[in-house]
Amino acid sequence: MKLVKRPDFQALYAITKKELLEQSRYRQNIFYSTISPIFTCLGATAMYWMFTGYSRSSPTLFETYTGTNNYIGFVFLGFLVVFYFNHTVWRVSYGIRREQEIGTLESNFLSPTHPVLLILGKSLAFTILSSVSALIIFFIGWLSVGLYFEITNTLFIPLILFLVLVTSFGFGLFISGVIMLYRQADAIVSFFVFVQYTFCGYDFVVAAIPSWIRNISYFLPATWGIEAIRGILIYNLGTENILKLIFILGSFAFLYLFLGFYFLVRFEKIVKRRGGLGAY
Amino acid sequence: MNTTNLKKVTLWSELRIIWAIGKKNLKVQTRYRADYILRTIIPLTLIVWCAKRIFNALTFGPTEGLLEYTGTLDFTSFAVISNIIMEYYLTVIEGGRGSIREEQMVGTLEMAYTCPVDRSILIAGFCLSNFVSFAPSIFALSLSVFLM
Repeated sequence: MKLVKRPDFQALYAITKKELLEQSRYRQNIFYSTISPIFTCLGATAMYWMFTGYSRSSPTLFETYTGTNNYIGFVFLGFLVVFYFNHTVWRVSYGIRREQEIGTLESNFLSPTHPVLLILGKSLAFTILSSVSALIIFFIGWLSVGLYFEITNTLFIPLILFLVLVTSFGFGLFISGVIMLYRQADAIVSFFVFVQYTFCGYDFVVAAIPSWIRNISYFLPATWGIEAIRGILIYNLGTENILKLIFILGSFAFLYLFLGFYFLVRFEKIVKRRGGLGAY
Repeated sequence: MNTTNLKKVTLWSELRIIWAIGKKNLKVQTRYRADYILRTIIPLTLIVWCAKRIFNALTFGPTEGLLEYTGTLDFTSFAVISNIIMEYYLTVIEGGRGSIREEQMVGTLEMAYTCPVDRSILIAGFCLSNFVSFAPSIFALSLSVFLM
């Protein structure tokens, strides 16, 4: 028996297409949600400039910690990773909640397509949107604040982004289960998303924070994704060190995917037993 | 038929509408307990957001540049206070946006708009109800920052 069948791909394609079609109907929303992430990066850049003074040459501890003064590259690359992760998780959870609100979640779950495919289809659609957004962020960053980095060993970058997406998909599975169980789970999703934003170090150096709280950062996949991307494009790390970081990120991807799938199936069973799948 | 209440619009009647919207929204919010506790009683999102500002301060350290721009070397207080003020503002905006979209999604916006109530009062009710729900937690956080 084949694990993945041709109709599964067709279903996946249909779900992704439907989600993109639906998003594209709200043109202003898609425009602003694609453009607005740039302001996070520009805000962090402005903060750095504030620390460097009017002359933009006042020394900060950042240079001591990282050995580079390329804070703009540091922030944009960090944000790229955390944005891919959080944007996908956030939009998938919102998509599931919307299906619940308009009453189509139950019928979708009763169709012969596996719920995981439904969530994967949504993730793919939002990954496409995140990628467009990422390109715009980099272009505006290059134009407005002089974003630059050294492109030397780019072979690993697609792999790192892929692992980040796998991790976010695993997390999306978990969050979808939570939404089915608790229905209104905005604050729970926000909390996880903000913890990731806060502790992954996309706009600060993880080594600078107190050691007792630093451990939280090491449990977040985005921290390792960011380190790997920066290692390639800013710190010029050797292949061996990059492979170590990729191994850690890969382990997270596997763990998140496994746990996400496990919790989704478990929560789905609970909700079906209680008969609350179609409940608003 | 007594239509006095529909004809006489007073400040008191408008305040009662805002109160009714606030009460209804609070009732809806408290039905989703996990969400309400995480958002209101323990505003974790706001706490972790403020923690990020502290990490920013630790990354850059007190610099002369910061002194030039802000007149202080204490970036944490500078940023956390701004964050709290911004949170008050966002709570009101988000209340209006979220409530209107929710009414639209569940199909009750049309009914709300066709009732004999000024739309600005309805929107004020949406905005203020969210503010009233979350203001105590933001206030508690603000107070803790000032007492630190």
